[in-house]
Amino acid sequence: LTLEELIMCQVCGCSILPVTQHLQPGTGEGRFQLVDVVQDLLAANNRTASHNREHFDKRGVLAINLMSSPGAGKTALLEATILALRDRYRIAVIEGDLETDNDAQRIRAHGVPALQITTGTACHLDASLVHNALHEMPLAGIDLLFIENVGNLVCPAGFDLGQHRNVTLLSVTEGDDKPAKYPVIFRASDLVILSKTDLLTVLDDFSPERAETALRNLGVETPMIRTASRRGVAIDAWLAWLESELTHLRERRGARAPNTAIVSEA
Amino acid sequence: MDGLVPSICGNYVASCTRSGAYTLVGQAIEVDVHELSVCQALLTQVGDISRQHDNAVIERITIEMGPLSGVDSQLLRNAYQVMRVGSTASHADLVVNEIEVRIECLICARAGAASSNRLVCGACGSFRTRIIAGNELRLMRVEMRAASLSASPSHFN
Repeated sequence: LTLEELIMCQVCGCSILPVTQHLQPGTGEGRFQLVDVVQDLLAANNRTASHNREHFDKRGVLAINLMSSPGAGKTALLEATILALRDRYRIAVIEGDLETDNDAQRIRAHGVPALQITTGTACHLDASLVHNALHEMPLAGIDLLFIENVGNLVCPAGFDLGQHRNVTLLSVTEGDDKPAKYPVIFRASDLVILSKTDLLTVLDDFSPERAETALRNLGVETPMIRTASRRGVAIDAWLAWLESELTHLRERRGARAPNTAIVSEA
Repeated sequence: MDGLVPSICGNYVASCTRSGAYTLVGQAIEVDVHELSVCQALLTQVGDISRQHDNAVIERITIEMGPLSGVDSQLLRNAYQVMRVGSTASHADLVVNEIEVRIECLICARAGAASSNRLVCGACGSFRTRIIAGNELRLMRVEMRAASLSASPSHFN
């Protein structure tokens, strides 16, 4: 390469890019080809997610992708949910964290199977990570599968895991403008949970009404409910929503034509 | 190119030397962002397209994306500069067409521009709106040149 063949990279200023010559169609060696494609960049992830969803549908398992910023109370909500529902439903949990299996241990302490995915530096779960986890987690007999995503309001938003519903927690120890700051994840949610609402009495700068307005400004009708997992009983609206979703899933499943193709075991 | 250490997910360290004269070394991204996953998916897709065209050398990639995709275009460009090294797109330009958010009101049928966190109808104020543009994250076009024997494509991807 001579200096004349080099241009400056517009991003980092490095000089390793050869000059992009004006492209001419032709034949043979050096022939120019142009391929127009309109393909979702996350198509591969979406395919794996659909495959996961077929597994869940086949078993009648309601799969919930639980998302929030770190420390909003996802694991505490799951613990309270297990205590409330474990006599009626069989529950399993997939935990996503950068490091440690602390959350999976908390879930297992309640006698519920929990599989920990440690992502290392990756900031979100994707469909293939969940798919690998499913190979280690028997779904037979399970009613509810919770996938607790990595605590992060940005990265998990774009990655379908195969869940039936996205649920995002917004704790009242955060700002009530979170939906405005993180529109993508809140738009993707099927339910928003205001968590730790027992703290509202001492956190007078958080307004549930402002939080709801910020959510509505995203052009969605997503329900917003309140929980206080640490006080044991204040998760009734959440439990009712879960049971309603499970009923809907099983009605849809029952209504499916008997010859509907079901994928074979992965 | 030599001396490259690309890995799937996690830290990316690209070092590249050409004839010892020009060196780009030591760009490391310590903390993962999801733009790395998206960039990896992009490179896989264009690598597949290159293979379908007799390993043609990729010269330009065009994508389009909107703010509601949740992907930051500058972070994606940065990731691309590092991750393309050693791939079939190692010399390809990345063109990013950024799409603005547009909504249509389901109540009054007005359509117009909107910001990512204010997606209510600008005319009647309803939140019953539909996104008509702004959540794209798509590969649109790949421009390639048939491979020559003297410049065979990289084997890293």
